[in-house]
Amino acid sequence: MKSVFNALLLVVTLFSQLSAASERLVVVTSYPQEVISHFEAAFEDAYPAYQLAFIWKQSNDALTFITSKQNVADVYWTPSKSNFTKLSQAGALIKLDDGLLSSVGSIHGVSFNDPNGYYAATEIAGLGMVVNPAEIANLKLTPPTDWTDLAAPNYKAKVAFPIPSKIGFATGLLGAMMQGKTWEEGWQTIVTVAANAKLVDSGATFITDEVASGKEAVGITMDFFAASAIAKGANLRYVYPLHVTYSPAHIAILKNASNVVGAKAFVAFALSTQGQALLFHPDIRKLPVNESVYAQKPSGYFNPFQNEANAASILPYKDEPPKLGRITVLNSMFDAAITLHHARLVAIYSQYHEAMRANPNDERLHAVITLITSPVASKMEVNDLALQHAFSVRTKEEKAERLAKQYEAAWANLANERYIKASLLLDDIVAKNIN
Amino acid sequence: MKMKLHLPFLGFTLLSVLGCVLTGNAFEDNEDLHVKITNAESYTQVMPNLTDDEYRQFLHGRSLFKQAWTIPPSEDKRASGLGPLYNRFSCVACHLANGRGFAPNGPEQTMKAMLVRLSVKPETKHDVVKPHPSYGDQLNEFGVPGVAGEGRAVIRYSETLVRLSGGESVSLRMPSMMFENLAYGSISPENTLTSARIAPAMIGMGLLDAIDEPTILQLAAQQKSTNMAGKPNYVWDAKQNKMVIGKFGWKANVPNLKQQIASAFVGDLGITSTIFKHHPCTAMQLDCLAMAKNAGAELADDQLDAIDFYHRALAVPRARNQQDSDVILGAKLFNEAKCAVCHVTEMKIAGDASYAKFRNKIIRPYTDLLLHDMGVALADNRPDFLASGQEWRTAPLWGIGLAKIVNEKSGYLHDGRARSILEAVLWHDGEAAESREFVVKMTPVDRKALIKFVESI
Repeated sequence: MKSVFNALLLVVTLFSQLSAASERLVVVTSYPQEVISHFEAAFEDAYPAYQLAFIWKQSNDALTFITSKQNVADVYWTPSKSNFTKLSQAGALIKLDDGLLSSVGSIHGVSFNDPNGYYAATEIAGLGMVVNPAEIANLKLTPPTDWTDLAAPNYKAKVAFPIPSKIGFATGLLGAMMQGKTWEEGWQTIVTVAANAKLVDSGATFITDEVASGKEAVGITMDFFAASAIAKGANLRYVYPLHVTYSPAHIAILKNASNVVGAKAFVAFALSTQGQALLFHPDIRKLPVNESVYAQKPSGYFNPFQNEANAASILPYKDEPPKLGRITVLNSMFDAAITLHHARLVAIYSQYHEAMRANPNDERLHAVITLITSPVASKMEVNDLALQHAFSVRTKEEKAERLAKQYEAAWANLANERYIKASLLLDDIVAKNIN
Repeated sequence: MKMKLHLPFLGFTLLSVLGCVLTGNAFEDNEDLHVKITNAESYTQVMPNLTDDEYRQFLHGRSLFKQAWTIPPSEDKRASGLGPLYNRFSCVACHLANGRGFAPNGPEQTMKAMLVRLSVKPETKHDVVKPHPSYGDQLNEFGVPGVAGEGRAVIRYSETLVRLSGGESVSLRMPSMMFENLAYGSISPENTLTSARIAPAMIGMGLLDAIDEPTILQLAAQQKSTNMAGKPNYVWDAKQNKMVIGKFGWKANVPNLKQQIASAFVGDLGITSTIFKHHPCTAMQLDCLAMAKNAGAELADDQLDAIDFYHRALAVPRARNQQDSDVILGAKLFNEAKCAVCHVTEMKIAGDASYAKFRNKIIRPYTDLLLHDMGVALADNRPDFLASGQEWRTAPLWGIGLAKIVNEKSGYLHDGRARSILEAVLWHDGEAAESREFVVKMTPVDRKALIKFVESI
């Protein structure tokens, strides 16, 4: 052994300045570290001529950064459709080659690529329910197949519901829960599920933790959080609702990129079979947009291209599609009508079910459920573009903030009045039932 | 080289190792420190029986640990402050799933869970670490827009075959390091010291932090007359403003968990705190200095506290397969090879530990937290406080068998040169040369059992 160590010692630490061996390629993203790390390692192995540098920016920051003089990025790669739309409209992107775009499939006739070819979809993720099968069995619950199942009385206090205004991945949740329903039906689903739920405002994978620990039986979350936990050993199951909303991520080359050749290489890699298959990694578990890659999918992996049950689910909506400004208004409406009064909503909904059990034919119960589940704003109000704009820019414009607050106060007051009325009515119903 | 051991000490280690095996459950008395788990999330589990407030603090800390930090300006002020110079933009980048880091496998790969320490050669034996005048004490590969990243360290290897008894052989790779794209002038080999270090696993850090100085000094005293006489490192405690025993870092060069976290934040992410208030820009780095002005504490105290608690409350996986006959044999061999002299099986946390949950607990980290001479082949020749260039802190071994399950790329030893536990054993030299020779001369069956034991603890 001694000779081995002597031989090894002949190799010493060397110091030198080599010529630049790799070109820097800068990517702006909001992906979690796990996604970045796997793509970084695989891309650098596939393209050793480039060294990746990532600049991590949330969507709002990213738009500000990319359009500022500070920007040094070549590629923008992130799940934020609105930013890509804005950057494309601002002429800040380079048109992608048709060859790059063509690998992206369409799901049930819907393409996630930019129709003008300035950005391509790289993956999609769906919103649904993570289920703890052991807890479902313990509680003798019927496993859910759609959002409305979570409104059943026996799911009381067994659902983890992310507050859409507080948790990034849930931003579009309300629109997703309203898919396939009218405005009124959709809002009723949201209210009644929330009435059974624990509202969660923590980030990260907290919903999955809550369900895996058995504190809740079901949680509303993105598919990849649950799929990743399952792949790493968690005893969970993921259920897609009947109408799945997919959130796409996109990739684009910035017009002022200093390394356009490298940027094209990265885009090509993200859309390649190798890049798409990386999405199957247990740390990532997103859904590839290249259909052929599903031939390599791990056992049991969801394939949205073959999701026959949801064949008509992406479009058309019975209601309006979830425009981005509308999402902001909806989320504020949720907070004003539900988050703010959640304890009272839970109590009223519980009391309502007790009254239903005692006297299901009492017609006043219909009035109770109508009071608590009627939207505090009409569809027309929520779809008002001026209002949507005000809510979108409220953090930047004082006037918009004042207007948004006025609306929120009005919605909160209206909800408050209805809860009081519903509560009084229920008290009356219960009292009469006792007498 | 013959090893002399005090009989009482040998008895202690023997009883400890065999005791674990005979009970069949190494952690019967510590149900609220450990979890039974063997999957990719083995290092991310919370200790059982936290209060609701503690659990919330744990989740807060976890969010911050996983959070990507962004370069200012940012709408989210509490996630802003990355740079001006940095290595990675999140803790989890180097500690994927709280696991061990790894070294690049060749010059074409960049350092993704590893860093390079830099300093100038000390003028006298008593000099403390002096950062490099142009690059500081750590090479930061990246800079925010407007600040040039410092450059890149490139690793190459030369492989050497080591033959073991029974016809087996193992290839060991010896790293050599070069620099490229240096932005602030050359790095002179004549008066620069370097040390490449991978990220350690995150489990058990709070428990090690709770080990008091008398316990460490007692272990040093027990080893004093042996050939494996470890010594404590005495390092600077930035909060207490005094020298204390170092417990963290590959050379035990950091005094406590909170300072280790704050040090990683400022060194790896360029994020200041109330412990390290200044960015480590050198006088040569004018853009860095300009951008670092008035940074203040970018990591708020409540954030630092949350991350600190997250580390404290991370459960150590329970030992596995303790009834397996190979594991039982391996435990015996671990002791016969004198591995347990430094990789001390048991330690007791004092009754006055600051976190009540840990008080009087007996833990099995397989370390003595002392510095040992590991020989010239492993030496980085870069002294750090009292640690010489050949001395390294005994690495804790608990949970090490799950390292590759947590992250398949996990490396071993300070610079990730070892790709397996056996390779790591074969790099042992200096005070551990006799132990290594014992392993080299074992039958393949015994070697397999020994490794199986190490993988089980």
